[in-house]
Amino acid sequence: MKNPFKFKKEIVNADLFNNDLPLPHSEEYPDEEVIFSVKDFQFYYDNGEKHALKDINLEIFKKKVTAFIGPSGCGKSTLLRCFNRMNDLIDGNKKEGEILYKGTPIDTLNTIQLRSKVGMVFQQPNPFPMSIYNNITYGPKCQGLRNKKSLDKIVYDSLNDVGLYEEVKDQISHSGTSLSGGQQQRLCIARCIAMSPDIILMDEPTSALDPIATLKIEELIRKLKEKYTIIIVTHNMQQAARISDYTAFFML
Amino acid sequence: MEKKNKKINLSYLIERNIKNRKYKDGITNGSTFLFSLLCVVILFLVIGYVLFTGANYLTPGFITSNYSQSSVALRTPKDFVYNENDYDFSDLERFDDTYYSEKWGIGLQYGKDNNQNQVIYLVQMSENSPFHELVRRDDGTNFNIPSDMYLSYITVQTELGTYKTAFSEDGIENMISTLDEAVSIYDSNFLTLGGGISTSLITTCYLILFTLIFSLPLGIGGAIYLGYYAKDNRITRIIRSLVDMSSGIPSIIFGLVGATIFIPFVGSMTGTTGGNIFTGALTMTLILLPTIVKTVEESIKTIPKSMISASLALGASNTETIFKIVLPNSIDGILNAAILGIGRTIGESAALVFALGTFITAAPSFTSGNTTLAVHIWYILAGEYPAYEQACAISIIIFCVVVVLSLSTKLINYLFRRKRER
Ligand SMILES: Nc1ncnc2c1ncn2[C@@H]1O[C@H](COP(=O)(O)OP(=O)(O)OP(=O)(O)O)[C@@H](O)[C@H]1O
Ligand SMILES: [Mg+2]
Repeated sequence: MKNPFKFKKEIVNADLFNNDLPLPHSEEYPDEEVIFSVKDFQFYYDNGEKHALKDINLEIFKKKVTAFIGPSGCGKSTLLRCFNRMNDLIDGNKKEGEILYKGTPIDTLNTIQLRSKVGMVFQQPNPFPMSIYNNITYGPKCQGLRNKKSLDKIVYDSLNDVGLYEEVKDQISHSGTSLSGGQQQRLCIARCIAMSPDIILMDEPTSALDPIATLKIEELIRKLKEKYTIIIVTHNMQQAARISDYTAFFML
Repeated sequence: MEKKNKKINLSYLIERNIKNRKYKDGITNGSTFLFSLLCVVILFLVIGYVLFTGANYLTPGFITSNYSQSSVALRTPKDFVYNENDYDFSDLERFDDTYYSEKWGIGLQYGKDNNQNQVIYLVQMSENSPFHELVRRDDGTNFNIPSDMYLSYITVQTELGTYKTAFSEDGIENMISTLDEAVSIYDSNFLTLGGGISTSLITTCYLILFTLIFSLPLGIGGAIYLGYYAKDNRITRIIRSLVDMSSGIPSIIFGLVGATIFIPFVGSMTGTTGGNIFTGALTMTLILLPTIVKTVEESIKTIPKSMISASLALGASNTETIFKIVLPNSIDGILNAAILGIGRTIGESAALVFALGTFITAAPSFTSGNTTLAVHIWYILAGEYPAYEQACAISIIIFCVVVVLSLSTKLINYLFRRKRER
């Protein structure tokens, strides 16, 4: 991928996709607070043989929804996984340049610390095969939270935030995998916000869902941006236009 | 022209082929059916032979008794005088299958020893029976005859002062008539059954327990390394193929290792000499490790990557992911590996002959040689008079365990598949 560039939401228009647009730097948008800034970032797979991300310069603004769009295989997911260092798990990965999280290079942060601040929602809903309650408390428990009352409160708040509480309040102890696809995806979002992250990364979160479930998730994203910064990969231009404040267009 | 010819030929060929194929298919179908029938028949013959030969010998006495026989010789005390008027045996309850000696107030019954020979048990004794006064011939102490000992022979002194002996083989009537002539018991010999498998059975259970204790943690650890941590590089591939290969090594070679390494090693730590349950369990651990690693690794690999990513993305460490996601979701593989291990441990004989021992002991021991059921079979067949019947009786036990184990594997897989599908 070469130079992604960003638009204010209002100017997302297929006709305007050209390199003349201003790069999304804080100078251009002085009101915005930068949370992630990517500087001259390169990413390679297969021990440097596959150059997946090329010269990325981009900033992510706090409490805004940034959408990544672009053709398949251009590296949207790759960049997204760089933000929470999930790419570190892939054998033979190599990176150059840096990504700063609130001014600190993410490579100097502990992955556990980083990932508890940068949550991720995957393309396929992937709840754990355990109860809804345990799904949501998984992250906090891993951080050592044992207090039953706080856990209960986290479960209640997270389910409420994603609008799932009313739907599942009688089956909190049922398996998370017994929910419908859309409910599962909202459970995954709830599981993610149970960690009270700063940023939520979403990789095509609605591509496995029907239109109604998709609308629910979009509504949820609009609501969540009051509290969280959201980066969302999508193939759907309309979706990007509907939900995002900024859009980064990726080219092959 | 040529083209046309070819076409005609082709359709002819196809037509001929159809007939031909039918014929060939018939032969293939028929022969595969025959072969599988043959396999089934042979299997049934083997099982049938074992069941037929061993079933009669598989008695509660066989399972609960020791291999070695212990005996005790009893007599009436030296100053014993039989006085008819002293005794009142009216408390003796009468049963149809029991023979009674009215003179001595005892009830005798036929029984079988572990070779299916007829023996006589002392099953009832009147409160007032002089048999309560019997003392050991060696040290003169009183002895309560346990119910698992049978009476092999009895020598009595008659009124005339002569001695008369009645043997178990000659029947109860003979024994009772001899007792009727007696004024004192000079020597009565009681024996435990002997030839039983209780020690080997208990040792087998211990061996399974310790083998699992040693091999499961190691095997699961190895499986986690290969299935979770290991990068897909040459070293991993080499390790994996080594694991594969070592599951094909004949177990007797592991037995050799057990004898030459584990016996001195355990000996130097605990002061034992020769094989014992621990050296046996360590050797079995070597034999089982490749299988356990493979089985658990397969199961770990079926865990969706997305589940592991989700856990890591939530800020869980590798350790937490292993204990909360990987292990709970590969529990079926772990159970299957344990069941496979139990089956192999029960069936193993060659390696254990070296690493555990061949001497059938009177009680299971952690410090000296023991035998498992399979080694027990080996032992009783290796002697001068192979005891095929008892070997078959043990085989029936092993068969049953194996059937139960494979059924439980099926059950586990069924339950977990259903759980996954939900
Ligand atoms: N684990 C990997 N190992 C090697 N190459 C990879 C790996 N993951 C992705 N790639 C390659 O990197 C490039 C970018 O992939 P990426 O998944 O980021 O694309 P994407 O923009 O998310 O595509 P899509 O819209 O189809 O999801 C692709 O050419 C892909 O083949
Ligand atoms: Mg993608």
